[in-house]
Amino acid sequence: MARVKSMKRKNKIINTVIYVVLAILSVIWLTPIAYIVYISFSPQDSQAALSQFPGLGDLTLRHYINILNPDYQPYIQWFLNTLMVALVTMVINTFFIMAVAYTMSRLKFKGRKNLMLVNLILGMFPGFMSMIAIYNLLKLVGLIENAPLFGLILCYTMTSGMGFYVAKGFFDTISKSLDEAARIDGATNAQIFFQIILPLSKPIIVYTLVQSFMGPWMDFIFCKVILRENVDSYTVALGMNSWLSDTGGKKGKHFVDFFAGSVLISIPIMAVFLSTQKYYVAGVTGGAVKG
Amino acid sequence: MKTLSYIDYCALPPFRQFLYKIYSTFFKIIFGIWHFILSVGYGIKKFGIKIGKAFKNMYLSFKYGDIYTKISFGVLGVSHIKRGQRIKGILMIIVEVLFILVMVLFGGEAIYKFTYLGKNSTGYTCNGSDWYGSSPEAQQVCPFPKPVDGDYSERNLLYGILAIIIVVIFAFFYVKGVNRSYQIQTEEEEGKHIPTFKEDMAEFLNSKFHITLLALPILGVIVFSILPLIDMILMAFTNYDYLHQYPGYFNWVGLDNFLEFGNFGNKGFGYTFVEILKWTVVWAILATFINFFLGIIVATIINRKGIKFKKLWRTCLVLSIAVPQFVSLMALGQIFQEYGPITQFIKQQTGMTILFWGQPTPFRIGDYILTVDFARILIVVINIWIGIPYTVLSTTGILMNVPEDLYESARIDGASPVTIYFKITLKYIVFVMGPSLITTFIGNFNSFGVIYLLTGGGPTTNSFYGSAGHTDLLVTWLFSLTMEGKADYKMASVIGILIFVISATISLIVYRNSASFKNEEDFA
Repeated sequence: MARVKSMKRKNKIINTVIYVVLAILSVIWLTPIAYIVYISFSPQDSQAALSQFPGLGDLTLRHYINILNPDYQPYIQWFLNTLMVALVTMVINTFFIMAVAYTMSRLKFKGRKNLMLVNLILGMFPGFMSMIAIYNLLKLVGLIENAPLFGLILCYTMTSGMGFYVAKGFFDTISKSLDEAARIDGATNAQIFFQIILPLSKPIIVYTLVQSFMGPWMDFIFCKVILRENVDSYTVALGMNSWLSDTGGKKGKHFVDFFAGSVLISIPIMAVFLSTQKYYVAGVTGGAVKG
Repeated sequence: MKTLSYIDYCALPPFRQFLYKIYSTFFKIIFGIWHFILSVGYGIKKFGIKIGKAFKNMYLSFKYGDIYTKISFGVLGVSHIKRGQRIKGILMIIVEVLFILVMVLFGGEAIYKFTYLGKNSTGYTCNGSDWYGSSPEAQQVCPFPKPVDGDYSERNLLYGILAIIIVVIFAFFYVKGVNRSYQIQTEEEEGKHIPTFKEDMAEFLNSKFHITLLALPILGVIVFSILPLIDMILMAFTNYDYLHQYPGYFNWVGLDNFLEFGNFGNKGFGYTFVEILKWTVVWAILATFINFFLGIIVATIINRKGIKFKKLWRTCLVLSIAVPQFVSLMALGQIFQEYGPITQFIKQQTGMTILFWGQPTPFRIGDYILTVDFARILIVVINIWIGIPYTVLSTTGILMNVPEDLYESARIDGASPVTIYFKITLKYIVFVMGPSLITTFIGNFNSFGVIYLLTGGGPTTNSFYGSAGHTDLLVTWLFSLTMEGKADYKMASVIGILIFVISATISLIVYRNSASFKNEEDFA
């Protein structure tokens, strides 16, 4: 009995220690986020806001009101640009990824292995390497001047088929006997894909939709290269980043606006992410287990 | 190489075990590279045989084909039209006509220009020499300068590659089409049913469904991945840089850019490359393994039996994933910059201004100068903040799946909790996550966002080529070389090619030694 009791006490101590550790960890992980939110209410405009800690009474919503005013900065325009790009990207990418993943997972055809190998090799080149060439290409076609956002969408979507591994891992887990049964009943491959496999793949479809929707919100390198000085067609990420540039004293004027803008776009992204988190986990671990 | 059995290995003293491990790893790497060369050779041989076969088929088709098949060698699709596949035949003729038109109007010239890329700058000439003046004096000397339409080398390179790709695709189409002409001739002679256009189309939803699904994605990859990649790879063999861009021109220089590796002097390319490569490798190892093991520990304690609010703890961590990196990293970077709270706090306490990054001036603590290492350490630490939530997210599911009977039998054998953790939990996770660890490693090797958003590569130094910084990785260095200020495209592509060689070698060695490679079905 005494031993059990001491075990219990030992357990309790360990658990207390763990609670303390977890609390500390949570503070560490939440502090920068809280700090971003806090700065966004600062009465300052410039970098001075970083190290001055205003009291609760001094906090102001001014920066939020400012950036939502289209005459002040085209934040809303940027937001709509990104939303448009993200929605189109989401639809096309999901279609591409599902199509490629299904083909690679279920259909047997000549050259399938070679295609996978080529994909593997292409993936080993750093993505930034081709950016300058893509820029030249779009410029020659005239997309950079006339329809930069369309060019951006092409960049986000056209090579998305290469990222099929996670979805393929999912399709691999669906029993092949389903296909065979359907084939015996006279179904074509297209019917199997659209009427049998896709309806069973809700988790991976949601995962892919969310991933491709989030991409344009998070990315800021590709759009920087493609959009350059074209302020009206900036995405949110790029536009807000331009607030932090030193040219024209922008940093002094808009520094805190950056934080306010960050909070505004982080809220919807966070909502989407947290509500689809279980699909995310399924996707990540599905890919990991398959390797 | 002499391979020891596991029992022999265990019998060795620890130090010899260690030596044996190094020895065998070394051989694995050598063998990996050797097998790679062999398999490339084998691939080329197979490819050659395939082409040979295609030509032989063509020869046979021509020899045994009737007049319509023979005409098909010149005008594709005649044989198809003769044998009832009218629409298909007409489509083939249209493709051929289009191809010829494209080649005559544009392709031939593009391929010709591809061979030299550029000879003349675009601009003005005056009396036969280049003319740059726009000042009133210059206008007086030469009131009517002659505009010169020089070579647009960027375009010549790109169009040349495009034309070659089109030729290759058409050649493929042509060979297939010709061989098929003969095939349907024999089918007709044997009295087989020749599929109608409608039946052919229906096959695209069934036995040829893969073509339907893959057509657009592959087209996208060809135009937006393969074409740009070839373009960039070829740039490494030109002198395309700040001094040689439109309205100027560039041309082929062979392997000159690769000879830059021999330059180990101040600002030398070779020296900079080696220095940055060292840091990149250190970074990739630290970022991968620290995040992995710390993440596993955090995940384990959250999942410990008897801990409440598991979901709450997890959400606290995972929230940081949901914040876009350009926000969170930018904010974290700001905290440590000159006006940031931490720098300001230190200043108030000690009177010292400590610049963590962005500044080449080192700061001292006692006699110790810290700039470089401090920026690097700080990046690794901040990367832990970024990386642990991902590990927690992905290991949680695996942790719950550790077979319970393993624990049970360990407990019966009297293993201590620590032993159980190391020998079972950790081993199981490493077993499951191992392959993805390599992907993570390569990902970190090429991780762009963290460095770019935190330090932009700084603190920069003048002793590096292209004023690279102490925290630059190979990719961020590559990126900064392609930016307008430097526009050193040729060296950027040299770096890109080397990154490819390095990642390919690493993955190859690992794939060869991993179970998934040996088990073909899983790999494919």
